[in-house]
Amino acid sequence: MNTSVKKRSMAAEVWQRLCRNKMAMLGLGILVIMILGAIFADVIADYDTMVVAQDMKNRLQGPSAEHWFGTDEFGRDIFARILHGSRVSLVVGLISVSVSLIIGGSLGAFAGFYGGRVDNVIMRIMDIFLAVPSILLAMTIVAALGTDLIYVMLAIGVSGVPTYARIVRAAVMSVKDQEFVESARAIGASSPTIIFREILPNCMAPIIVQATLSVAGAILSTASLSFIGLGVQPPAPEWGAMLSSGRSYLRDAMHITLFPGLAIVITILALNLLGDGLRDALDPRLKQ
Amino acid sequence: MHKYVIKRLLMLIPVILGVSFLVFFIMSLSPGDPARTILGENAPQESVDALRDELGLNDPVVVQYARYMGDLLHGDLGESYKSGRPVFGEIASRFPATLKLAFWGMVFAVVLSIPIGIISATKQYSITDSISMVFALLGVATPNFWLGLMLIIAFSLHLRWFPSGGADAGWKSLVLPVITLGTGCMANITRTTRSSMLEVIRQDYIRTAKAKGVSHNKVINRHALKNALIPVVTVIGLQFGSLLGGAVLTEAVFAWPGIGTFLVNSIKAKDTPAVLGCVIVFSICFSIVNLCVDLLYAYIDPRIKSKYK
Amino acid sequence: MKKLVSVLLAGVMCASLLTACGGSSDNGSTGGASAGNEAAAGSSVITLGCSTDLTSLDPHNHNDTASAYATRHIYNNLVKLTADNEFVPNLAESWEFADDTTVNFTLKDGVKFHNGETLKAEDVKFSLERQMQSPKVGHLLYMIESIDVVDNLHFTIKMNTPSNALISSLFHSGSAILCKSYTEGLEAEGKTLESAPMGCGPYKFVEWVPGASFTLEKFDDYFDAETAAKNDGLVFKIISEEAARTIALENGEIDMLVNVGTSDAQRLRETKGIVLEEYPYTNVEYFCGNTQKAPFDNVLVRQAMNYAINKEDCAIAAQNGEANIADNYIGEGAIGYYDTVVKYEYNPEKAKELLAEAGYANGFTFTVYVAGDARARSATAIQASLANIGVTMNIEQMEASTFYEKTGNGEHDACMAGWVANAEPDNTYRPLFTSEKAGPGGNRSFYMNPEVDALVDDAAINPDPAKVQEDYETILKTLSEDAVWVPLYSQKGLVARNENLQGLHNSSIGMHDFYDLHY
Repeated sequence: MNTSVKKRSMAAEVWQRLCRNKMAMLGLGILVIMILGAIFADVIADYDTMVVAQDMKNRLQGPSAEHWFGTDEFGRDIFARILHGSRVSLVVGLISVSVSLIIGGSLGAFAGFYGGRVDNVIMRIMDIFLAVPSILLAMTIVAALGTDLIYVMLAIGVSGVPTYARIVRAAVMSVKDQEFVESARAIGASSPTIIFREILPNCMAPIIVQATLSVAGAILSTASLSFIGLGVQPPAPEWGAMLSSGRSYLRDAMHITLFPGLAIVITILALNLLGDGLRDALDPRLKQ
Repeated sequence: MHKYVIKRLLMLIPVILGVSFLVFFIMSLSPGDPARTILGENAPQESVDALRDELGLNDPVVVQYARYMGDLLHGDLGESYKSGRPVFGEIASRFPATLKLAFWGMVFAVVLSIPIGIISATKQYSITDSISMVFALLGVATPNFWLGLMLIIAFSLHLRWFPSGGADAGWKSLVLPVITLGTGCMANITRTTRSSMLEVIRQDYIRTAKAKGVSHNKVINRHALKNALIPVVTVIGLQFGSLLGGAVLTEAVFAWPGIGTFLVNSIKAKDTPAVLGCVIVFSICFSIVNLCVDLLYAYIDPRIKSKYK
Repeated sequence: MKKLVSVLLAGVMCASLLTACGGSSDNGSTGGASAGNEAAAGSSVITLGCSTDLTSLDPHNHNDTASAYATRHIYNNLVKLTADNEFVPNLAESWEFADDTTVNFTLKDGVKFHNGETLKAEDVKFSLERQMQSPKVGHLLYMIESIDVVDNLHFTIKMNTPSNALISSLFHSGSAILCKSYTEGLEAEGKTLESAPMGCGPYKFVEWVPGASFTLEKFDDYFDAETAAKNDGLVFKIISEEAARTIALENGEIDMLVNVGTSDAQRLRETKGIVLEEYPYTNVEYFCGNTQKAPFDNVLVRQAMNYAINKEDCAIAAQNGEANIADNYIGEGAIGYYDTVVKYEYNPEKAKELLAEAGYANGFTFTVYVAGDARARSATAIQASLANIGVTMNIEQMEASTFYEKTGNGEHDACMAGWVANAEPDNTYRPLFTSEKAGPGGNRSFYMNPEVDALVDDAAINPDPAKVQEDYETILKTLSEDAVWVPLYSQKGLVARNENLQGLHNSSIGMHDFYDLHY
């Protein structure tokens, strides 16, 4: 009872501090707009007539009043495809990064906290996974389980696990010998409590940076997956696949790759602004 | 310390065993027949069967694995299914080029990104900070092939400063691929440096140092930087790994004779010995880089040193 | 401790730098080959750009075009193919059929290998027997029973069955003639032929830098003045990225581009100083239903597909329009091509009628398996065509090896594939349309028709060319009536070159000759 009240007040406090950060609010605003765009995509642009309907006579047209972002190699409207593609890409980006962060982060935290043999075993297993080419891992997962979106996310997520393990481990190692950890231990807190309540909140910076940047990486990996024919199947739109299909038209019709690329940039810009703000808001030292 | 290094180098053995086991079974689980893939769509089934027989693919997977490991113990990486040549030679003729590209890509990234990261952190929310952030994000979100082709069009086709590809024009042929490869890493290292510098700058001992009247530059360079380095070094180590493994597209765009294209083609051809060879070489590289990173932790933060007895 | 760390780090860095430098000096040695600009200025080494690296320099250890660029110029064959699709003697002086299964060959006198040895009948026997052991190209000579050497210049090939494919098979890059004493000598030393390839072709091997380039130089003692090299050497640069290949040609870094990307073709046509050559290519891309499964077991449904699919859109989507619409089941430039097929014009209304007649008035849903980027684009266009007649087609893209396995097992409703005919029609008709090859053998429509089987068998061995033609004409007519496939398009062969470069001999089966290239 007591702790839950404390938790809520802590969250409220973080939120208040976040609200004071203009850049973070800008990032949040962009994200909210994008999410709304994804939710109401059908209202803005009809799927059957604008996203998948082809018009070969008007292929590779540059931006115009009719087609804001131009048309692709099938004469489809790129704006509509980016809008509908955000449904897939945002989900892929966020979920697959969460998968890597949760699995890799926990493993790394334990490795860093306990050190010694635990560290050695976990990190050597991570070394093994680091060496398996992510494209091979993805191909196998997708070939074995199917091209459903969930497996694509799993494939991308799993290949990011070792990265987070190493980053979180390093962060934990750098703070675990500081006084506040000692004092938590002295009052008899359990190890998981120390890790998740004391250590992790104090070493969020590199984790947040990595997580917000990796969303771009995850969306780009769907581009390389779709290049070998895995990932989202045509005619469904998805940013990564749009990028890779525009590759051979780079010199004549740059807009095909430019706009999905910009969509990715704006997404991670928003995430980074929000991430920076979140880091400051979470930093216990910045409490007034 | 010596003991620790030796212990870690010995740990390479289980890592290689684990990697080869994992990859071997992944390869044998994934659908597709190497013999069919090598001979192509047009080859008659009899030839495919003959090749399967020659490659020993009709034996149970466990037998194949045992045979492979037996050879590996003698330092033999086997022969590529596709070319029939020893995998060791195939890798030895390509890996140096990839390593060279990755090394200079890393140098390029580190030399630029750490100063930029520090400046951004010390002048948080300034114009410099914002510009560097936007560039960093562009760097992370720009696909390698896009940047690479743009650089070729600008500097090779129009300005004619550098060759469009290949590795036979000395340092000139390195410039564009290094920039292409290094940009993504640069972004990551810049952001990490900035944010862990910010973290450190707020710590009590920095305030104390400043309060004691130590000059700003000295505080940054002596005290803050060293303590901010752990996450940065970690990211550099990880990025080096992704440079080795992720050079595929850059190598393809610049016709760079590295291992990336070879690995992807081997994966597609289900050429298990070739894939295993590459993966084993990668795992040795990653393990050594990670060992260096762990040793650097001890160097940066003496408290961590105590573990490495 | 600090010391140890720095020593270790320094060691690692030095090692990586050293290996890096080692790599650079290896690669540096290719720099001897001249770039295109110099070539234009008078040196006569020709630099060519191609998309894929070779796999082997041993003609018995590969069956791909890129490797054949090298091996067909280093080695030589008994026969060659003229521009009019006729087989004429090359290393052979002449041949004659003693009976259905016995062929007497005479070799040209005084043909020199690169090491100075003279070609003898023993070398031919050795080479062909070595080839028959190869899983990659051995199948080409399945009909050979024995090779008997009569004397240095005469030998006899005995076949186990009458066959029309012997001579065309001898033209294949896999039927290259090696030097017996040289190859045996190498192999006795534990070396492989591909480490030091040597034959009696117009070029000697210089070097191969994997992933970067391979280099050949002119052989001065070549036996045939007519097909001797007109340049001092050939350098093949491997550039896998399409756009980068085009730029290399525009820059003058290469003199000629063998694999032109379709999205760059139009630009190259318009570029000053560059000529884009088109030649007929024997490729046909097709869509086919699995004829053993509903609904494609119904001939009406298959015909409806032929009417419903807009092939023009496929050609534009997949090849940027650099393709010719196909109605036939074999490429127009190929030996064995006859224009006897029933042609289905694009007609969605007719397609709907046929579907209704077949009992699918409300359409149906199926999944098509595809491998490869261009085919996926083509599939996306088909998907839109079929949506117009109420048929829902889901696309499942997979990588090639998975595709072969799944379609080989008959797991597919429908699939999309392509075929490049080579110099022997039996190598096209048999795998694609006979019952014995249903599944992994190449017949992915699982079309099984005893009549077609019998005609293919007859065409393979009938000594009367008129009868062979009649067989193939009937087969093509039957296939198109049964609407086994929807033939989609045939890619244009595209080669781009510096406008001053002359002497290119294009081959509709991709076996271009480069000996005549010169400025």
